[in-house]
Amino acid sequence: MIELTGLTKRFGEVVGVDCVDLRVEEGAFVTLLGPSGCGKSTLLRMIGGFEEPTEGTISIDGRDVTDLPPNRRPVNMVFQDYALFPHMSVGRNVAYGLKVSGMARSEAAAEARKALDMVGLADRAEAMPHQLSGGQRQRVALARAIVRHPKVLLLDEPLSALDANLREQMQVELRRLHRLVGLTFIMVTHDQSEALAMSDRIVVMRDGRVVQQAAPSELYDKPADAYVAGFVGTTSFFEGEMTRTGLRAFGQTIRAPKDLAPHGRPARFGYRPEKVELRQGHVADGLTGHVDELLYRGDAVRVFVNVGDGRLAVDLQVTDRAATDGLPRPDEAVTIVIPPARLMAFGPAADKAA
Amino acid sequence: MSLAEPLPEARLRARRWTAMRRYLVLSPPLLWTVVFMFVPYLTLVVYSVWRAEFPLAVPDFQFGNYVTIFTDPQYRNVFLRTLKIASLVSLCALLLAFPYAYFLVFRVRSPGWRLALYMAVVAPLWVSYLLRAYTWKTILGTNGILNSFLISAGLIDEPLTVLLYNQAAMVLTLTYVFIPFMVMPIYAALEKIPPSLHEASADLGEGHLSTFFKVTLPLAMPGVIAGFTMTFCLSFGDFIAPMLVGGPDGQMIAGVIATQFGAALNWPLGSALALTMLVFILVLISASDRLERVGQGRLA
Repeated sequence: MIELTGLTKRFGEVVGVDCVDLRVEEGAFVTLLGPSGCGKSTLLRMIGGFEEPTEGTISIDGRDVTDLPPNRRPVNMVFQDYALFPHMSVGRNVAYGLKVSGMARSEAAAEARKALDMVGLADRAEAMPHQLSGGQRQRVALARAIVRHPKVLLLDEPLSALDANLREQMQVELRRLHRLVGLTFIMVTHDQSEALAMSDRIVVMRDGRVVQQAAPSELYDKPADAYVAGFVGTTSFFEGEMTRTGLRAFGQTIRAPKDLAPHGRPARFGYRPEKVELRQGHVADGLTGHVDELLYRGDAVRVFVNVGDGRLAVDLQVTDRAATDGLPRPDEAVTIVIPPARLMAFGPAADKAA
Repeated sequence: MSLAEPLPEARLRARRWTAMRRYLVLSPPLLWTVVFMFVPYLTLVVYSVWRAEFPLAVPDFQFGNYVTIFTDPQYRNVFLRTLKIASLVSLCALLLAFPYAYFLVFRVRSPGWRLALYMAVVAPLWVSYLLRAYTWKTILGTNGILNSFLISAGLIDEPLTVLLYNQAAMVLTLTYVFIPFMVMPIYAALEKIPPSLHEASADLGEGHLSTFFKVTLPLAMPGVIAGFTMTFCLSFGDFIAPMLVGGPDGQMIAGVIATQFGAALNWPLGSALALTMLVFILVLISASDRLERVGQGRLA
């Protein structure tokens, strides 16, 4: 288990990471998610030993490693640019870390081969890094990091350099590898869909702080605030006020859980565009408006609806039924019906953070 | 179709103009190369098979000059001495330049300081070579700065005469003069190494020293080879330093060649010597180019 306590990193006046407490259970796949500059990479680099924390401690399996240099930590990293040694063959790259631990050359070569086999590159041991494709280099970097059986594997934006098709394939590979080796993975990414797809737990960061940490489904369904709601998945926001009869917005009232937000005060609300229904014409207990624009995406259509002075989005799955019934047309009157359980509240209306 | 008829003629003219422009752009450097490179080399080749009848060079076709070069121990000794001096200069320059470049790239954090320290080495190139070589005469001479300092410090009573006019003084002077050519390529090679490689090495359990020998040094080799080659070739062909600070046993091959064309008035032998040196240096350069490219292939 890895435990961060009050971890802080300041670069002069700038606070990179601000008093982060985090526990990662053994064998978990945890993702640090956030926009660039939120401190997630700095946090990862501190765990790896490449940045010295200004304050706080890092312990791995109960042992304080805060002051240990990278070469003495039971941690290995997959670098964003892979950092393969260009003057060594793939096999020697992977075996690089094994010779240090005093392993015999032949044994190291066998271990390296085993690790390469795990990432499906056993036949490329003799190749030089520049002869490999981006995806293959990524696999070599992975093999090189897991071959030492670290307690924790750190992945710094491991898939960001790959193109979209390859990225999804590598997501599957990484999940499989995680299951296979049973190591603790800590990954950094700015890609929310990647985080949702791969992690057991996501830690959302902003301005050096942890905003929320939760399992992907929980994070998606119950974002802690508007920032998380806007950053993870899409959220359609609107302002309204809780009354005794329900949620009042745009001069219309819809059903809502009574304890969704404090009554009698304007607040910010939202919903996931794919979890609501779009009906033709005016329907009671919904937000009625006019279709503004449609964005066709192949598997779905995002419909923007002008409701009062606001603009809300609804995602329609393009199924056979939708295709035959026809999609809504611009200026058509429609009603958005939001199941009460799908409504999310984000505190006072003044918060425009997202 | 009929509308398109006149087009080929126009296009042809345009193409001809393009070709002509290309020649116009290329001709000045081409002319320069022919007049100042090919013609002199050709002259050298021709003269090298002529016969010397003091003070004239007589047209002939014989290889006696080359035979002299390879059999007369005098020339072999000068060649070996030149080889020794050039090797020592390159080695000294390497031993000084590598740590300096390493320090600049990996230890100096501020870009401003790095540039300043880099320029401190490179800037002397803007000062006349002769002046820079001459400086050492004033430092090492009997009434030079070093002797004055040592005497005023009370370390010696009589000025030292061993400082100047020997091979050590030549190595010192040439190292000083040519060290920028060693620093520049090594600096460039070290700067190209991604910092993540050092981190990866540390991550995989290696300490600073073994990271240096396993990662930094191999990746800096193209720069080292380039710097070594340049420094070696430049000091190999030098004849100013032997003149200024070299002693009676300090004659180097370039000086001998100059003498053949000057005082000795033996142009055929001078040409043969010059061509022999040229071939030697060309072989050296192409060998080092090979080596360098192997290194670069790795980095790509």
